[in-house]
This record gives sequence, structure tokens and C-alpha cells, in this order.
Amino acid sequence: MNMKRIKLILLAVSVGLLSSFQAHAQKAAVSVNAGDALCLGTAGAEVSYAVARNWSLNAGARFNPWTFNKGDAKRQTQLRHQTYAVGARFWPWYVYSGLWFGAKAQYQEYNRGGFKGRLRTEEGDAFGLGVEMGYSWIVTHAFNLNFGLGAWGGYTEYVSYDCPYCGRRTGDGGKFFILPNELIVGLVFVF
Amino acid sequence: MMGRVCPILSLAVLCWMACSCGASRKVSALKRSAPEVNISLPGEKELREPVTLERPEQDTLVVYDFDGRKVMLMKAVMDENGDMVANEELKAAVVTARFRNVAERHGKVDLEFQVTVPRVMLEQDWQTRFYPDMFMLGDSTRLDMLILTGDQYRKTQLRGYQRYNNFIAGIVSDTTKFINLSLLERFLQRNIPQVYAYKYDQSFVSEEEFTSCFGVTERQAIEHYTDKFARYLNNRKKARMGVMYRRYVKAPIVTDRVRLDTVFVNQRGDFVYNYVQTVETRPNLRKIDIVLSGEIFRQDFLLYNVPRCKPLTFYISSISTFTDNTERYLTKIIERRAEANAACHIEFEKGRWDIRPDLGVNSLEIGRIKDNIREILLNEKFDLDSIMIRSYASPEGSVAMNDALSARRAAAAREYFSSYMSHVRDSLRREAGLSISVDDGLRESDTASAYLDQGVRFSSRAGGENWDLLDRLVRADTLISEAAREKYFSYEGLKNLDERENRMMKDESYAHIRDDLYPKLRSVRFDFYLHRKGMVKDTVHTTELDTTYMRGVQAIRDRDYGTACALLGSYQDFNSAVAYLANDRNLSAMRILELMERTAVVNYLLAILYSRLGDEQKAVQCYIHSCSQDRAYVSRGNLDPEISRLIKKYDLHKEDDDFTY
Repeated sequence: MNMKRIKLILLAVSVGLLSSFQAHAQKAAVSVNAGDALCLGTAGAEVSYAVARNWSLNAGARFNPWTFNKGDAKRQTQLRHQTYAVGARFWPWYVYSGLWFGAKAQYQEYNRGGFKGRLRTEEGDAFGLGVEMGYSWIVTHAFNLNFGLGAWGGYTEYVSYDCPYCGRRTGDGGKFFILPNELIVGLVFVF
Repeated sequence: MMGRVCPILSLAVLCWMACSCGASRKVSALKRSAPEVNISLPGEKELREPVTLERPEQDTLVVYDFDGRKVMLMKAVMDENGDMVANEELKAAVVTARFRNVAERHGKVDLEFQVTVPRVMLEQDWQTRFYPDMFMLGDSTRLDMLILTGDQYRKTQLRGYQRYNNFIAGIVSDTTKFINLSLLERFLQRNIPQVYAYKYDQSFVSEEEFTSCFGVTERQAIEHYTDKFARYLNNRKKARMGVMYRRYVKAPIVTDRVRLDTVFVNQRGDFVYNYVQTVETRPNLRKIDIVLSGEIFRQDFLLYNVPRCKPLTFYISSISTFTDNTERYLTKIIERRAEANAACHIEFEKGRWDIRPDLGVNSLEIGRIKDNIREILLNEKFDLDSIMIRSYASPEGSVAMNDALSARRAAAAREYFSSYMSHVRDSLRREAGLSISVDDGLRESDTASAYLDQGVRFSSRAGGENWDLLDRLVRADTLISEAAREKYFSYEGLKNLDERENRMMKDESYAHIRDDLYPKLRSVRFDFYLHRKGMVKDTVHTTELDTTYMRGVQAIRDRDYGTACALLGSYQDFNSAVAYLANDRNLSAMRILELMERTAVVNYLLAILYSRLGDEQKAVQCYIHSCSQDRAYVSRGNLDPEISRLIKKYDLHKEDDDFTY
């Protein structure tokens, strides 16, 4: 808990510091995504920096520690993961304004299973590249509403289990995958 | 469903065909009957029924009596001699006047005529237009047209305008509407904050363009946030405005050069309109013809061309015809006598009076006088009557002595110059030469005899000491001080001139006066007395045309009455009276005409004047006098409204009518 608190405080302070540079050209941004929360309560944040009129670089992390209905063999659901990604976005008009296309490199350590009635649980480490596109709508000079869709594909080393609760392995190894990555409905703070 | 639709559809088609048939039937009926529009003089109704030609009635019978002789039977009356004469009756023919006399007043004429449009030309969905044309002096002018619009036609017109207005309303004129201003503003606020800072700032902004940190200008931002497709569509609409106008408004409402544009809803009977046109007259304008033509339209489609009606003629009479066009010459008063004079400074030796051409500048002075004499002798305009020579002396010496001296000097000059003059005359005579005529032998030419006949008196007079001139010179001299001048003039009262001279000699300014001013006093003055050659009397009448007067008369003829009054006002004669009359300055005209001899024309003009001033008794009296003096004014009276009014009121032509018919 203390670690978490400290992290939150650090985040708030950095946001405060960065936002004090109002008169400065607004190049940096921080965004949070409500769509993350849909994924069974993931918390995520992303920082980005505009490097040119049409390009921005971003780095983000998502974290989901939750296990729902723990202990219940039939109903236990989890989508635990920690994801770290770095990427770049192309804005045809201007950074943080309007349409954008992005690509990123992502690492995800995950353990998911039990949702939609499927008991097969998988955990592993995945590396991959993702593509996304979306629209960022300017609400005020300081923040946008960001909408987007992303998918990614890559390689994962996994172990799969019979159910989310038990420990019976059903398989392991490495495989390639392509999966939808995220649904973005978020808030961007531009500094 | 198809079964129900088909009969309805065919019925609709049939109905539509019937309607259009009906419309075109009206048109063909119109074309067949070929109606005519009519113009007539107001107040006179044209005969509706044409006069039918009946078989001429026979009033003479030829019969054969039982002897076989031809006898003619006809109506007869007994005349004053007791003879039986045939009496013929003529049936009157009816003539409709197609002309009217109008009088021009103040440079303008009012033409009034009545337009009658037959009912058959007016329909609810037609528009009928009439174009009156005015012909004068070989020139034609189209007057303002008359438009008669049917109710349906007008409704269709307005509907077209309405549709066009709707189209126009759809065009966005404010180009900022295409810009997403809210988004743009937020973008600017974030990325080009310097520009955003000027949002409420009304001060002058420099030319430097603000850009974002990545070099995007405000202009680029505006362009990005503009809805380009909507703007393109709007521009296309703007470009098609003309096309759309022509498509929607097929028959635009005409307002230019239209005298009448009336919409009739329920027209019963013919349409009658009184058309009045005021026209400025020009010189030589005697008559004006008016002709009416027209067109009938449905929508923008010409249905029928109304043929030209019979012309109506207006004959124009004017007061300017009364001008007296005889030429008028200038009278000048020229003096018979004239004078010329010359002064010369001939130097004489002290105490002597003989003329020495070699002394000082004498040769120049003498030469000048000789030239003057010669010029005057040769002058064609003037003849020399006499020459007077006056000689003056300076105040040196006694007055008596100077008087005698100047007398002798004048006499000497006279001798000298008269001998010169006779020498000149001799040589002129020789130059003019002799002419030989066949019958008379040798004879002196006429020009020479003119010179010989001159009896020129040559007289001389003594001028004495020229104190007047000395006074003038001293007054004007700048080299004499004020004190000296005062001293000089203090001696003026002295009657004894010698005494005065002695006093003067003691002053310090005397040296200057003696050396510089005295020489000017010793002069001889020549006065030439002349008279104009060939003139016996003192005044002469020239043969120069009085151009101001002629211009004034021409101004009356050109109907420019204002200028005529200005030019002729000072002469106060008959033409000025005419100008005043034409310009409505009745009292000024009266003042001139009342004093003139009462000829027929003067009586007639006075009649017009009295009529204008309201004195009808005097007006009628003058008119009757004028008619009895000159029969032409009987018919002229009908042309001027002031007189024709009186003629109608008092039936002045009644007696004449009885006699002429």
C-alpha cells in the first residue's frame, strides 16, 4: 500500500509540476483510459511527448491485480496483467488534435482466465507489436477526449491451466498470437 | 393497384390536354379576329359602327314625255331673280378627327391621347404591353410603355421570384460559418497562444505571423478547421445564381420606362387609359405623330404581335412665329471732329527766333513733326482743318521780352512748316499723277484734287513763359528737397513774374532748376484739328448688323425664351414684346405693345395678353379688331388656347360660320 501511495503522490506532483508550465509550448501529455477500467478494473496511464508537428512518442503501463471470486472454482475470473509499452503516433494534422495512427512495442505479463465461462486459464509473458488508430477531440486547451482501437500481435511464452483456481497444467510453450489490445475512451491532459 | 392508377392517370392527362387546348384556342381566336388597339383624342368618341355605304339615292329622274323628248325631273327652288334653279342635297359624311392642334408654351407641349384596349386582348394568364412611338422631325422616340398584366400571370411571376429568393436564402454569405470556430479556438489557445492572446485585443497587430512551436500558422489552422466540402457547395451555388434566376424567374417584372403596370382581376369591357406626355419642343417642329404597337405574352413566350394602330397627329403652334425677322442695324454716334497734338522741343539760340536744323537735337524733333504732318496728310480717314502752333519760353529774362520772342519763334515755325507742307502736297500731287480720259482731255486725277482742295489754316500763337509746366515739373521732381519746394511754391502768389524769377534765382535749388528743368520749357506745341473725311453731319448710322438683337430673335425661334428676354430686353421693341409674351412676362410685354401702333399682329398679341390677365372684354375687342384687319387671325385664334377659350365661350366665330358654309 505504501508503495502505491507513494507512486500516486509522485504522479500527482509530476502532473502539477508539468501543468505549471502553461505558457510553454504544450508538448507533453498524460492520458488515462476509462476503457482500461472496463477490462475488469485495469489501471493504466500513459505519457507522451510531441517531437514534431505530426509525431509523438508515448510510453504507458497498465496494471491489473484483481482476482474476482477467488476460491470459487466455477466463478473465479481474473485478467491479471502488467503491461508496458512504448510507441509512436502519427497525427496527420497536428499532435494531440484529431485523427491519429499509432504503433507500439509492448510487453505483457499476464494471467487470464475464467471470463465468459471459459475455465481455461493462461499465464505467460508476451512480447509484440501493436497498431492502433483513433481520434483525439480537443475539449479545452488542457485536455482532450481520446477515442481509439488497437490490436497487437507477437509471441508469447505461456503455461495454460485447466481452470483459474486449480493448478492442472494443460499446456505450455511458445506461440504467436494476434489479439485485440485495447479500447480507448480516455482523457488526455496536455501540458 | 395498377388497375386503379391507370384510369386516374389517363383522366389527368386528358384534363391537362383539354386545358392547354382551351388556352391555345383563345390564342387562335385572337389571331383570327385580329383585334386592334386604338388611340384617340380624349373627349371624342370614335364611331363604333362604320358608316354603311348605302346605294346612292337618285334625286334626278329622266323621263320621256309623250313627244319622246327627254325631260329631267329634279328638286328646284326659285332664286332671287325668279328663275328656277336645281337644288342638290348632299348627305353629310362623318369624319373622325385624327389630329389636334396644340399650342407650345414655355418650350413644352402637352400631348394627350386615349388608349382603348379591346377586352379580347386581356386574359388572366397573359400580359399585354403597348409601346407608343412618337415621330417628330424624321426622328422616332419610344415613349414609356403601358403594361396590362393578368392576375394569374402576376401570380406566376411572383412565384418565380419567391423560388429564386428561397434559392438565394440558401446561400451562405458569411464564410466564417464553414469554420469550426470552437475547435479552432481551442486549438489556437493550446498551440498558438500568442494569437489567442489577441482575441479581445483591438490594438494594431504587426505583420509578423505567429506560429506554433512546430511552425503551424493561424492561417493553416483556419484552413484545416474549415468544412471545405460545404464551402465548395456554397460557392457552386453562388456561381449558379444567374442560371437559377433565368430558370426560376422566366418573366421578370419590368419597371424601367413603364408608364403604367396594372394588374386586372376581373376585366369587364375594354380598358381605357388617358396617356399624357409632355414634350420639349424644338425649332422647326410643326407636327408630332403618335403610333401604338403592342405585344401579348404568356410567361416569357410571345403570343401575338398587336398590329400598329392608325397614327394620331398633333400640330404644334407657337408664339415664336410672331417674330419680326427684319434685320436691325447698329446706330453709332461718331464725332465728325477730332484732334491730335504733338509737342516738340526745338532749340533756339538765345534771343533768336530762326529755326536751325543743325542746332542740338533739332533735326530729330523737326523730323518727327514733319513725319506727323505727312502722316496726317496721307490719312484716309481724316482731313486736316487747321494747325495751331504755340511756342513757349523759359522764365529767363523779362516777361515782355519773352512774349515777343515766343511770338516771333512761333511765326518762324509756322513759316517753316507751312512751306514744308505745301512741298509735301505738291509731291503728292505729282505722285497721284494725271489721268487721261477720252472725252475731256488731260485731267488731274481725283485723289490729287482732294489734297489741293484742302484749305488748311496755319496759325501761331505766343505762349510766353511756361510757368505752369515749371510748377508741374518742380512738384514732380525728386531731386529738389521739400524745403526748397516749399520755398518755390511760396512765391506762387506773386503776380509779377519777373519779381518771382528774381526771388527764385537766390535759392540754392535755382542752379538745378535752371540747368535741368528750363530746357524742357522751351518747346513748341503743335495742335492738329481734323475732321472725318466725307462726313458732313455729326452722327452716322452704320451698316453693321446688330448681332445681339439677331441672336435674341434667333433665341425666340429656337424656343429659348429666357435667353431671348435677356438679350432683347434693352431694345423695348416688338420682338422684345414677343419674347416677354413667350416667357409669360405679361406686364412687360403689355408696356411695350400698348404704346405701339395697332396693327393686326399687335392687336392679336394684345388679345392674348388681356386674355391671360383676365380682362376678357378688352381681349375680345382686340381680337375682333385683329380679325377685321387680317382674316388670317380668324384661324390662328383656334391655335392659341387663350383665344380659343374666348372663341368657345362667346361663340365668336358664329357669324363667320354662317358665311363660310
